Order: sequence, then C-alpha cells, then structure tokens
Amino acid sequence: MFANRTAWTAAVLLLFILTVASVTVHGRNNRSFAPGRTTTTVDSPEKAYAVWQGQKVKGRILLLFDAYPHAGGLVSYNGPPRLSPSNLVEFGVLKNVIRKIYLIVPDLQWDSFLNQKGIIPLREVPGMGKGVYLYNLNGIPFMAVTPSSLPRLKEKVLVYVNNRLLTGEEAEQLLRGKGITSDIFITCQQGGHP
Amino acid sequence: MIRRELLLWGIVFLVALALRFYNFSYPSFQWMDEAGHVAAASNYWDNGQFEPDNWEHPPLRHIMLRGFLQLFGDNPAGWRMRNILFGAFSALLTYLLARCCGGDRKAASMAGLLLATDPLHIVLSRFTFEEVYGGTFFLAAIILHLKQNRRSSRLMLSAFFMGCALATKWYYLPCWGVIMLLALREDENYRNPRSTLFIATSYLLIPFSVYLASYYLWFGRGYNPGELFEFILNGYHSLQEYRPQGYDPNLLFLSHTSAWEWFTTPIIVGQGTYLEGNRGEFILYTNNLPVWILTFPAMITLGFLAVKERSLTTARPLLFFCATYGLYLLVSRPAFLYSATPLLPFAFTAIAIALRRVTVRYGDRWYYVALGVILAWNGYLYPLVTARKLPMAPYRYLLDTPDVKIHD
Repeated sequence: MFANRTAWTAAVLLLFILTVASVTVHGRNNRSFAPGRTTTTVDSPEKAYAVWQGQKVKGRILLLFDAYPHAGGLVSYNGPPRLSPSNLVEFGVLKNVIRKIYLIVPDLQWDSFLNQKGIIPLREVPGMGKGVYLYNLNGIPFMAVTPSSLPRLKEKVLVYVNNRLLTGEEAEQLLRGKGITSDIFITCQQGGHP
Repeated sequence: MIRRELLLWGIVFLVALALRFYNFSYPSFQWMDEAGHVAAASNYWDNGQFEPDNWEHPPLRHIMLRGFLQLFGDNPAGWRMRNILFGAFSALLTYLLARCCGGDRKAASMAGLLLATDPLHIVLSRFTFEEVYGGTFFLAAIILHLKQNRRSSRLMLSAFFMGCALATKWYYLPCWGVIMLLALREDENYRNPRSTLFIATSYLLIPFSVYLASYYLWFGRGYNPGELFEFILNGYHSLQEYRPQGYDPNLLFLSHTSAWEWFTTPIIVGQGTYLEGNRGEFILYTNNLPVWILTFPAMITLGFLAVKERSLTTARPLLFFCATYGLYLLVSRPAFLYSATPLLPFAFTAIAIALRRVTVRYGDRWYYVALGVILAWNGYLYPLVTARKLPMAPYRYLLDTPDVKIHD
C-alpha cells in the first residue's frame, strides 16, 4: 500500500496543472503585437523586417503571400545570420519574430506546388482540405494552404504580400472574407525573391 | 554484507569512470556531432531554437549540456563531462539492475563490468551522444520502479527519471508503458482505485510535466501547449521520412542501418589516422560481437528459466529488452548502431545471469575464466575506440576486413 497516495495524487495533478499554466503564460507573454494597425509598402523584401522590428513584434503568426522562401537553416550562414532580400522569412524565424507560417498557395497552383523541388510535405493539416505541413530546418509549424482552405484565425497575424503574385487589395479581401485581422500588413512592390 | 556490496558498487563505478575519463580531452576540438550539439545547446538556451541540431528530438539534452558548459566552460570538459559521469553511473545502475533481476553479486558485478568496459558505451560516453545520459535516466527509472517497495516517493522519482529519459529521446516510450503496467499489476494494485489512480497519475503526469518543462524555452518563442502537440506530431512524421539517402554520404553509420544487425553481424565503423612506423589511432564504434552475440541465447535462456520457475523477476531483462528493441525493429527509419546503447544494460544483465547460472553448475572458477576472458577482450579493444596511438599489427585483422568503414 502506498502511503498518502491520495495526497500525492493531488500533488502530482497540481504539479501538472502548474506546469501547463506556466508554459502557457510564458508563451503568451512572449507574443507581442503592434499597438495599432500598420499598412505599408516596401520596395524590397528585407525592408519588411525593419517594419516588424520597429513595431517590436515577436512570437507571431505570418500569413505569407509569396513563393516558398529560402530556408537553408543556420548552417547556410558563415557566422551569425544576416538579413538579405532572399531570407526575410527565415531571418524572422531565427529572430523569433515569427513562430508559425501560413504560406498561401493559389488553389489552381496547388498540385504543381506540391511537386516542386524542395517541397517536403510532412502531413496533411487536419480539417483543411488543401493544407500540408512543410518540413523546414527550424521545425516551426509551416503550413502551405490554399485561400479556400485557410482557416479563420482568432489571433492577429502579420501579413506579407509579394505584389508580383497578388495585390494587397486581393489579399485584404481574402482576410476580410475569413474574418482574419492583422496588425502589420506589408506589401512588397518589387518582391524579387526567390 | 553491505560493505561488500558497497565495495562492488565502488569498483564497477570507478572502473567505468576511469575508462571514460582517461585522456577524454583528446581530440581537443569538437569531434563529429559535438560541434552541432554544443552550438545547439547555446542556441536553445538563448533563443529557444534547436538548430543546428535536429529539431525533432526533445530538448532536455540542450539544457543539460548548457549546464555543463556553464560548470566546466566551453572546452572538452564542458562538452564531455556529462556523458563521462552519466556513462559511469550507467555501469553502476546495470549492477543494480542485475541484482533486481535475481542475479547474485557475482552476476551483478559481471553485468556492471560488461557495461563499464564495453567499447561502444565507452566511446559514446566520451563524446556528446544523448543515448548515454538518456539511457542512464531510463535505467534509473526502471531500477527505482523495481525497488520502489510500495514507497510513494520512489515511484514518483521513477516517473521523474522516465520523464527525463523521454525528454531526451523517444526510444523509451514502449518501456514506459511496460513499467506502468507492471506497477499496476504488482500486489494487484489495479484492484484498488486509489492505488490505480496514484500509479497512473504519477507515471503519466510526472513524465508529461518534465517533458513540457523541457520545452519551457521553446514556449518563450510565443508557443502554446496545443502548438507543442502540433510540433511533436510534425517531429514524428519528419522522423518517419528519414531515409539513408537523405543523410550526408560521409556519415560513418550509414553502412549498417538495420537494428537486426546489432547482435548478429560484426559492425565496425569510425575514423582513423594511419601514422608512421606502422602505427595508427582510431575512434571506432563497434558492436563487440564476441560479447554481444551472446545476447539472444542469454535472453532465450532467461525466458526458458522464467517460464520454468514461473518467475517474473527472471524475465525482467527479457521484457525490458523486447519492449525497447521492438521499437527499433519496427520503425521504418534507419537505426544506427549508437541507438543500441539503451539495450546494453538488459543484454549484459541477461548474459551475466545466464553465464552465472552455468558457472554455478560447473564451478566458480568458470565464472572467473569467463569474466577474465571478456574483460581481457574489452581491454584489448579499448585503445581502438579511444584514439590511443597503437601498433597496427595486433589489430590488422580487424581493420582490414572489407566490412570495416574507416574514414582517414
């Protein structure tokens, strides 16, 4: 017979609840949102990072209207990571600005996207018709989804739109339709990457 | 009696420690995966990120390594002392495991010394491989479970160590379930709702808590517990996608990717330098087949004896071995030789107990002969796995076989 087993059961339960609570609070405290709404246009992808930095955002979800970004991981840098026109997303991940990505792939391009070189789907996203988690070196949840499969997101998101693929207005319209709000909405005019 | 037991503990531990500690700072640079492990430890501590190490594995290893780096500095002691100490403790715990499985002091000493002198365990204990300390946590959890004697604190400590093992690698999942079931079965605890609740709560929620806590710094990137679940599922799917062709072709372990080979086929891989004067120095990973090949016969013997004697105690090494080994055999991803490390305490316990049963029948001197031969063989291999400068002639027949993979 285990001594004081009921008391110990309660203590273990409490320990578990406290652990869950502390990591939840720790996570929430490390998400920062911009105070108002910023809509801006940049002429080069890396300038978007300066906007995020200026608003001191971190731990955020990014809605990415762009091609699959460069993601070679830390090993692709000689020394500390440096921001360049081709690594905005990865740099944002490495600096903990971004914690999760929804890469929006037009419905008509979905099949060809999945067959692209370098795309490694890990599994389907439950509840999304056309949505897969993509492998990436940092391991962040990185979902490719079509506009029709994009879920309603309760949390305010960062939005980055490559104007060569989609106009800012089209992206805004999609977000409105889905009830998604954003605190920083960036359109890149040149969007040379990749 | 107790004094003799303590003396044997001391001998096993010190032999293991000495073999792991001796000249540990050579090579003085970060060797093989060490560069990635050390950088990842700092990256996790500072940023909650896993790179340049794999993100799929749980992060307790980064926290531990960071602690040792703080204690000893960013030098060979900081990189390697964790494995040296945990590796030495593993030998002591193997002694205790054999005692918990019906082995007498001689059988336990043999089991402990087999692990203390095993070439693979030694080489992994001298670098940063997570199988060494993860395996030690795992073994500590099992022994505390076997020795809990209805003490709540020991059962909870066992669950804590199981959490530490699981927060290092997922190898230990099947045995986690086995231990919990054994604890419920013992004394028919499952018939008592309060005992059942206590055991189930302890063995489920304490490991979950440790696992969650190990991700505390990752949560600092803004994540929530639901996203950890998402992350773990992604990690699981990612690991299932690992294929030999996806690795760096220079990876030493690629020539043997099946767990079926570990106890049946000679495996020697590693790095070496051929020196002048017909000498060389090597860091080799070997399954030490002359000893390891006894594993299956010993397991079968224990299984037979357990059935004959209707003794669960005798069957324990077999049970833990099968639960752990089964996972390696079933996964579709490559299983490299170093993953065999958590199996070694069970294998050596079975070998030692089976050999002891035989020598009890034919005379004690055969025990000493068997122990002497095994230790002499392991001693002969020691320089080959620890980068000692050695004459090539006595080792030529091992190194010249076509199956041996050595990168200069």
